[in-house]
Amino acid sequence: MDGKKAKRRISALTAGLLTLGILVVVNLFALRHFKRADLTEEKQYTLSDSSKSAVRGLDDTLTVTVYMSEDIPANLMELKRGVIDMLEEFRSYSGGHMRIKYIDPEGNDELKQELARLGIQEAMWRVIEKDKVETAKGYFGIGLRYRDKEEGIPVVGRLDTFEYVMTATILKVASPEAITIGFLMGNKEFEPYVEMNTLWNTLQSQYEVTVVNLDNQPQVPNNVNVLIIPRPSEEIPDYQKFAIDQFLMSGGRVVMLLDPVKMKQGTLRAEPIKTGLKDMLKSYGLTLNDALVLDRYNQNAQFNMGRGMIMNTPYPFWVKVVRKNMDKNNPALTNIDEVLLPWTTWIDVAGEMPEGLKAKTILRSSEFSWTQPYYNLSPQQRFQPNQEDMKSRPLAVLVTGKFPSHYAGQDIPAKPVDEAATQQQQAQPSMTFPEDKRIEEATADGALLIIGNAEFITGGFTRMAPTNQLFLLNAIDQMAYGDKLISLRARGMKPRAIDKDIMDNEKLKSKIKWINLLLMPGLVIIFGIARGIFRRNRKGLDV
Amino acid sequence: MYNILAITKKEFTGYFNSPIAYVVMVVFLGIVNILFFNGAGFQGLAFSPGLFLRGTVDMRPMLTHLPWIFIVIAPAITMKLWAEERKLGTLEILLTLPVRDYEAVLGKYLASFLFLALNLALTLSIPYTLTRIGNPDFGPIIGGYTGALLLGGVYLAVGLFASSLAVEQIVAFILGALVCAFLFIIGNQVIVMQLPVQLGTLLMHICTATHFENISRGVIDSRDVIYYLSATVFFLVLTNITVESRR
Repeated sequence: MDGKKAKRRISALTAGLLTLGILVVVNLFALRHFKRADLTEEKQYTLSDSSKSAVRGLDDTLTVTVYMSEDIPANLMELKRGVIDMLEEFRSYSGGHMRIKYIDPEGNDELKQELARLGIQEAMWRVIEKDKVETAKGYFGIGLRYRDKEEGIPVVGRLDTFEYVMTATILKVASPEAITIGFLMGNKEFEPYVEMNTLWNTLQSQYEVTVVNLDNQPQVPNNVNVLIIPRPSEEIPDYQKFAIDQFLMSGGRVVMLLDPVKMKQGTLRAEPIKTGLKDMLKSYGLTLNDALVLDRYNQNAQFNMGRGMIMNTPYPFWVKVVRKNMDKNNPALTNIDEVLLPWTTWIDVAGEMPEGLKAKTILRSSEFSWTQPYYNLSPQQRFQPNQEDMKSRPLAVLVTGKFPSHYAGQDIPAKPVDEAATQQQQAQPSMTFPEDKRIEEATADGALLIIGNAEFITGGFTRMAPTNQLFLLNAIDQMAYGDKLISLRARGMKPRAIDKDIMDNEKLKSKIKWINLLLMPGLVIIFGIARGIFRRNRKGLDV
Repeated sequence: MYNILAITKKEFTGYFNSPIAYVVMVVFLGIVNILFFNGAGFQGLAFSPGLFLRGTVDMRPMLTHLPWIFIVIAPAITMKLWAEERKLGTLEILLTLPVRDYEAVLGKYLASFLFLALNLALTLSIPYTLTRIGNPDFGPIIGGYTGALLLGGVYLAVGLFASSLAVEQIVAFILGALVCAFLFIIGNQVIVMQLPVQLGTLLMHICTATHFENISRGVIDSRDVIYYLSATVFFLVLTNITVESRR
């Protein structure tokens, strides 16, 4: 009998172990050969068309090397798995032009030095060892090599932005020349690395970013692809405007962020800004206005009224551009739900644009917007819009095509001679645009994005409306790469909001909540009681 | 097959003859709906804000709570399946019937699975509400429910195994809940960060939560599905072995 029991135990144990073994093998096989189905509406976890076309466009071998320490903390395993999966997906669309290698740089000092050159350095991770939180060092970076060019992703920190970073780096390494973004300086503009430092840093991770001072150089440098004019607050002289005009005519891309007023810090007093760009814009079919736009679609603002009093009130000067007032076909606005433009002006687009140019309004105020001069910005004033003035106005306009010259038929404006400087330095290089470089007619399609506001991209407003920065980054991407990157940047950033009408209706919200809390449990209780009664009655009948 | 279906039918209808099943359903639906619509907080701090505080039509908050609720609900559904038979002495009768052990195991498992699926189906009022107040993404909703069924399937198999080991239902319940909780938290970052890398990685593969995370985002990955099915099969085989050894 005991022998039988022992035999049965052994056979049970064998069956258990055999099952476990088979399941382990099946899982190991599944780890190598797998399929994924992304059910999300926007295919958030599948490679986007932008990424696919970036790798499809390769015509030589792109070597992607993942530098990953063997002892990467286990809590990063999910990230590691996500990254490897995504790289495999990139490879599958590369038509055999992408190779992936995995290397652990630990113990290889020569390699570590090489990685430092690519910007890939050891990252710090928090680990708990012997009940103490300690920091561990390790590598999780990626190097990309294409022909004779190299680019590095220093640390892979997040999965949700990885596809964007990877695609941007592929485009960077595979494009024949680096794309350079220039910030115009020298006319009391916003200092990009101060007032717009987040934007500056984000752009630096993807592009060559430089400062362009047309006071020291007669023309926009040849390597600059996109020129950003970040709120000049004094008049831009003609010799600089001429350089910008020539840049546009030669296929350059310009983003103008033009505030109509300059706010005095900590007050609601403003002084108007004269940039001298109006006449030039007129030649491109645009009229830049001076007055401010006010809108019923606006952001609430808090004002310190003194004596510790804070007033929270709708502030029509902070115009909120909602989805329905955006150009939905523009990829720069994909997944952008709102843009907040504080103290903004508007741009009128000529009914008939100059030949060769096309204008598209990409942001506009609502049909309940009106205008007002800058001298009373108080939130406590009685806003009495004139009904006739109430209409929708273009707030951001994109002009593309062959730009006509604002200076056609005129001499090249010369930079006035600085007598003092001339005396000090005898041989000053000429700061006038070289005659032989002048073009009379556009040689390529240029693009000009003009926004009647710049304040929206400064710290406080980007915190209040995070999509402000996203909008501008998308717009710059669009200028730099066409539409190759935009659909990626905005991924996963769009919250699906509850309808505003419901959010504003407390009664309805309470009703929805209580119906849900009570309905299903109530139905179960009613069913249970009914079934109990039915069974008891049947039992009674049976007896 | 006929035997399996007959046992499934008997056990499934049996649930509705016992008040405990109704208690389980009401508690489950109550907790899920309260957490989703009302949120949970302590002394004014909302550590899990309610629907209108979040302001978004997103199912993820419910899917975050669901695995924890299942840790209690799944063993409550399965605790009686074997333990009660043994206590009432009906197990011997069952074992003498012309029914194979695996048929009995599968029949009971399917009944508990259907009961759990019914519970989940009754929470569909939540996505329905979301469609009425906004425009939710159906991907994570479908993924979430698929993941919940797969995860619930594993927990039920664990619960069934615990029930086959214990005589008392309460012992089966506690044992089942402990194993489910163990499987759910072993891959937690706080734990794996303290372990050697290889062991930590292994535990993350075994952890039910790691796989659930992926599916509830709306991504059905064959690796996650195969893991859940494997874990279910493993515990069902263990249950079968235990039942066989009772003969």
